[in-house]
Amino acid sequence: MDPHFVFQLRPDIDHAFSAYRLWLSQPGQWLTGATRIEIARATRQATQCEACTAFKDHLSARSLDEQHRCCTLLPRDVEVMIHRIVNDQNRIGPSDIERLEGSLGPIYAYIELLGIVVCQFSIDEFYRGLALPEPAWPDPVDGAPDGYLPDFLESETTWVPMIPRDQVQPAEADLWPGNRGANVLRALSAVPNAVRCWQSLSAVMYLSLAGMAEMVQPPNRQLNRMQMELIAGRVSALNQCLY
Amino acid sequence: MLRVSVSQSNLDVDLLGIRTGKAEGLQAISHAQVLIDLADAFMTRDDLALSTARDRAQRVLGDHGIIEAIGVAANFQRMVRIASATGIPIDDPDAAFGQSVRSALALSESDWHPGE
Repeated sequence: MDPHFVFQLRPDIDHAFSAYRLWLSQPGQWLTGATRIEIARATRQATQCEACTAFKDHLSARSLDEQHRCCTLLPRDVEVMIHRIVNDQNRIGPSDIERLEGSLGPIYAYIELLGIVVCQFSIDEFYRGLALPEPAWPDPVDGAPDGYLPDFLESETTWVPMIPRDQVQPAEADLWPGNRGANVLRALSAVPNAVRCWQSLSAVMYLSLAGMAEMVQPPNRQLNRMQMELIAGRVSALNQCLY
Repeated sequence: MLRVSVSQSNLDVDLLGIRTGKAEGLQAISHAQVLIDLADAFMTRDDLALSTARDRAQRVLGDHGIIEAIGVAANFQRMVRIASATGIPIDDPDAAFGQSVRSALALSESDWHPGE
């Protein structure tokens, strides 16, 4: 399809993708703008990695790490992890994340990386799905990461620290309504802007948080809610996602 | 979410079709097989298969509809990876409801592979 036609019909998607690219180019909480763009580039390249396809049948996901096609400025183990998030996500475990600390930094940097990978991948998938040409990368904005952390984090629920449901501070009050923070909402919440970014994308590609709670045909949408959930369910099933 | 939206529509829908990719029990949802075929082609990463499924879907869903359908598919490529790469457990605010959905999808079967 013609990208001008697509974004003329859905300017909200164009705006959200542009906002993402601006967010990507800027220093984050733990990563510089240049590193963040390299992460996005590695995400796009990962879909072309022949080794990723071949490794899916291997018993050990890490046994052939040296054969991944890495082509960015990122440390190799970081780039391999990006490949695994894109192509073999169901076999990622906490030890894989811990191993990255030497080359990537504290676990918050992994959370920020993950936020970039999943946002970039979903955008690239939109372009692929509609046979649209991929947009150029933005130029990185100079500056240091700000090292921001929410006041309260808990590490009991899963492998990464998250904001507790009942200890959300005013600075993060926009991340989820009241104390109804589902785990998928909280998963990246140690890097609040990563949550805001994927929620902005979800609002135009699927539904806003408020829209998810309304089990009716979303306004200004062609597909009804059951049709949307059918696609969502089938894609999740094919990804073997039980969440 | 499909279970919730179905329950509010008074339609008879068998969620197992999500797992099998067969729309027999999902016919209450308009163009169910077209949507499943589009999702399947999208996930194969085969450009020709995707182009064929997309053209077919575009004919029945229209321009807005195909953009929305691909948007949802792409969106859930993100959500599953957030869950898998952080290891978050399933939320279960309503245990009975959650169990009914897992039962409908036969998720307790240990040999399940999508597409079978």
